[in-house]
Order: sequence, then structure tokens, then C-alpha cells
Amino acid sequence: MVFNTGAALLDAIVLAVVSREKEGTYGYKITQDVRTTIEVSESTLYPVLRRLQKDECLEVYDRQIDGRNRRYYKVTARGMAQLDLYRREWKSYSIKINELFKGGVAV
Amino acid sequence: MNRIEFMTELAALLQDVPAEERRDAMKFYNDYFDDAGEENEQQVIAELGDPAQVAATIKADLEGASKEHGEFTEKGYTDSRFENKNVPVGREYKESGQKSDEYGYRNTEQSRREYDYERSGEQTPPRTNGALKIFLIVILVLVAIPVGIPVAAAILITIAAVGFTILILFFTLVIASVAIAFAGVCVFIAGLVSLVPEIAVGLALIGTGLILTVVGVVLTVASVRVCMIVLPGICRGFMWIVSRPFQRRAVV
Repeated sequence: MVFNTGAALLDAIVLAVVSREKEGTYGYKITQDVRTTIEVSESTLYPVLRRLQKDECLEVYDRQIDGRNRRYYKVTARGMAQLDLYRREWKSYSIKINELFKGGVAV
Repeated sequence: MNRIEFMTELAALLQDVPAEERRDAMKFYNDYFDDAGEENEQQVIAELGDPAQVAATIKADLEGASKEHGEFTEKGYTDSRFENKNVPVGREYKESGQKSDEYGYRNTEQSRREYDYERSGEQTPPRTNGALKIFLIVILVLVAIPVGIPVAAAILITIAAVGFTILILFFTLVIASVAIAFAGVCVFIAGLVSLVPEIAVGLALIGTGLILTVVGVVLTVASVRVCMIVLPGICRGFMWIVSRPFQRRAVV
């Protein structure tokens, strides 16, 4: 991809992906879901998840799957508020960029 | 490299992060391998890349977590954990000197801002380490003072006592010699006194007295000579022992 994904945008994408699952979701699935949308290396997402967890935007819990504990990530109320903020910011940002690009084409 | 090797190496590389962080990261990647399935093991390892790189990514985030968040948003700052996965590795290859050819070219692509960020990120950890070292030294000194001063005093006093004892020993030799000479003179006088009632006893006492006097004088002269030779040596040795710790400290 030509455009870099900044830290805030990556946080927003991960929050959005996790928030789609009511019961929460796990690391491998989050990585695969994010990778359907943007190119991201597999080692990129762990630090993001860890940071969101520390910022109390995500909470973790372990669930028994196939005789082992799998770690699940779930968006907290604070995470939802943060995601709403990101959505609003992204909307205004993308509108402005779109306007600019459209204008560029017209001229 | 297989999964076990990857995880072992990652654990080893994360030895210097807090235990909780290490456990969490290990849990994540262990789950990741489990969920990817055995058939995808090699693919996952290929995707994750070098464990050193994964570890560096985790550490870079731990170090930069406090200042980075919300500061470099939407302004061209490239997330060090995304796409340019060499950024933390940039530090890694400076240490290991192995991967510069493979990833070094990416540095030229990065913006100035990013470079500054990376550099400041590099400089911060040694500074905290240095502060920690100074702090530890201060603690060490504070702890050492109550123990060190009595110990040093005890050593000094012991050395002084030993030196003084040797001094006294030689001084005693001189006194003993003088005493023998004095006793000889006394016996000689006693012999003279007893010469009138008992000639034999008197002569014997006079003889004994003379012998004792001569022996005492000879011993006195000899012991004084010995003291003159030995005492300056002892003094010099004493001074040397006392001054040695200070010289050594000056050298260090």
C-alpha cells in the first residue's frame, strides 16, 4: 500500500474489528480479520492489542477451547467511546481529503 | 526453525522486559500458533520473521508507549510496528550487526520526523540505565557507610595495636638488659658489703655482680642497636599499610 497506517488508525482498526464480536475475539482471528482490510505483518498486532489493553480500551479473559485456554479480547466501555471518537475523526478527515482529491481532479 | 525453537528464542530475547509483559507476549504467540494450526506452523514462522524482530517490536512499544500515544497521529508518522517492521530492528542490527543488509535500505525511505523519533527512542534507555546505576551506587555508599567505617576503624586499630606491641617488645628487651646490668651492679655492691664478714661469699657475689653487669651492658648496647635498626622499619611498614588503601583508591 502507498499510504502508511498511523498508530491511531491502527488502534481504530483493531478496536473496530474486536468490537464486531460481542463475546470478544482472539489474537489469531483479529490478525486475520485486520489482514483482510490492510496489509499488516503478523508481529504488528500484538503490541497494539497489548497497548489497548493497558489503556483499558480492551479487556482480556481466557476461555476453554479444545482443552486449552485461549485468550479473548473484548472492547470495554472506554474502548467503545474511543472507537466512536476515532470514527468521528476519521469521517471528518476522510471527507476533507476526499474533497481535496475531487477538487484536484476537477481542476 | 520450528515453533518450539521460535518460542524458546523469543522467551530468551524477552528476558529483560517485566515478567508480566513476557508472560503476556508468550501467551499471545503460543495461542497464535495453536489457532493457526500445525499445518500453518511454517507459514506463521515465515510471516512473523526473526524472533529478534518480534522481540524488538514488543520492546519498542514498551519503551515508546508513554510518549508516542496520541502524539504522532495522522501527520505522516509511520507506526514503527506497522509495515516498516525494521524500525525496532534498526536497533537490533546495530547490536548484532547481522541484518543491516537485509533491512537497512528501509531507513532511507523513512521521514525525518520518524528518524528523530527513532533516535530519541534509542537514547532514552541508556539514560535511565545510567540514572539507575548512579542511584544504586548511592544506595551502596549509604549502606556501606555504617558498615564500612567501623570495619575500617577496626582494621586501623588492629594494625596500630600490632605495631605498638612490636615496639613494646623491643623496648622491653632494652629495659630487661638495663635491669640485668643494674642487678649486676647491685650484686657487686652486695659482694663488697659481705666481703668483711664472709670473704668467700663476698668474692663470689662480686664476681657474679661483675659478670651480670658486663652481660647487662652488652645486652643493653645490643638491644638498643637492634631497636635502632628495627623501629624505623616498623614505622615505615606501619605507614605503608595505613596508606595503601588510599593509594589503591586513587589508582581506581
